[in-house]
Amino acid sequence: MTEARVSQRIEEVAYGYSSTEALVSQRVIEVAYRNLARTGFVSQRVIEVAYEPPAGVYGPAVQHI
Amino acid sequence: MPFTPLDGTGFETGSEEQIASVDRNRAYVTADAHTGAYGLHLDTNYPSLYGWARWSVTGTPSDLYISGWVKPDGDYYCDFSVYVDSGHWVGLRHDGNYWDAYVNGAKVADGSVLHTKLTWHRVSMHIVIDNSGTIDTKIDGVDDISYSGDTQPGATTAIEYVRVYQYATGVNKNADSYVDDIVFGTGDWPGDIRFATALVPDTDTVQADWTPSTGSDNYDMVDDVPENDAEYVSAGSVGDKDLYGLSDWAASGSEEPRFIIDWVRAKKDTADSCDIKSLVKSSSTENSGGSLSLSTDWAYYGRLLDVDPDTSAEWTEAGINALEVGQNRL
Repeated sequence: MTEARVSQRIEEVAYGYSSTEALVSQRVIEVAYRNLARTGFVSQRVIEVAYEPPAGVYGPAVQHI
Repeated sequence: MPFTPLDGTGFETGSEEQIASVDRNRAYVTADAHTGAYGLHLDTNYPSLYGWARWSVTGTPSDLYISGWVKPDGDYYCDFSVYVDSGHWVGLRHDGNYWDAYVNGAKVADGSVLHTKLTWHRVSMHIVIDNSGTIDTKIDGVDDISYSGDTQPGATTAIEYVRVYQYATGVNKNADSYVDDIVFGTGDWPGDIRFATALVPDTDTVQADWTPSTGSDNYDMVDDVPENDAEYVSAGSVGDKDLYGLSDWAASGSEEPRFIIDWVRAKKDTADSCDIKSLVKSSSTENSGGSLSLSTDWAYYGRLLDVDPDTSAEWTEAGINALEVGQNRL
């Protein structure tokens, strides 16, 4: 039995909750526990910089017909 | 009205998967770039005779400005266009020398500014999808086509994708075109926008809650270009946050920064939901994007910042070089 479930049993006895109420509460606790336990991973952080060169410095020649 | 960027890339993550994430066929990252370290290679190779990549357009506008640097194969058609109404295309086709305007496969105007095959030139277009629409083009900023007419081949005017498309026809026929520095948005012509080599983390800061997969330097786990998924940082606790110092932009001092794209490559360990936020910190101002609901597969998440969040004004070289980047486990 998980620590959370033991805690819930104590709560159920102490406050006279119905079994259904206790199970719903237990489910909330278990979902919250799993949320905390999940792990996120990051393998790359990159910034792309979009820029404009000075006018006329880099522009290639174009040809009209 | 000034140009407002919706999206853009110079492919500087160096990653095949950045391209795959936007939808592609025989489109690969390449070192044959216009600027920066990477570009896009449309590599048709018999029997697969279509190489393409496409980017979804936020808000599906009917009026869009698009620009990209293209090195077209020239022996086979190369299209630079928009995809509208689930199956139609409107835009430009390189015929070996010129970019002609098309509406769903029918030529409506001839281009007259020479773009010699296998040379880099900037190809820009303004497209308005409408029964009385517009296709205006510029090559290297020089006015070319100015077409007014029916540009609406389908029932709606929604531009769904910007795409580049390379054809080759026939047995054992191959074609190769190259694309770099793509940008699209609304309001006005974007100008000559280019992307610099990626800036990557180069130092840890005091904000270092995540756990490195090896060693003790968090930044060293997330600085590889292309990505190296064997090295990573991980966080299992809500609120864990990392911020890294960033390498400087090697600008000459006369380039004008226009916007940045903040890329994070991430995943989660189980099928249950796990969210993070990407962070940039400019001076004392920390800015985060929306919640990123991670997948159990590695994936790229990018967001565009067109102003410095610390000043709400245009980016400066000094502001970019002072940036910190990171992420927060939600």
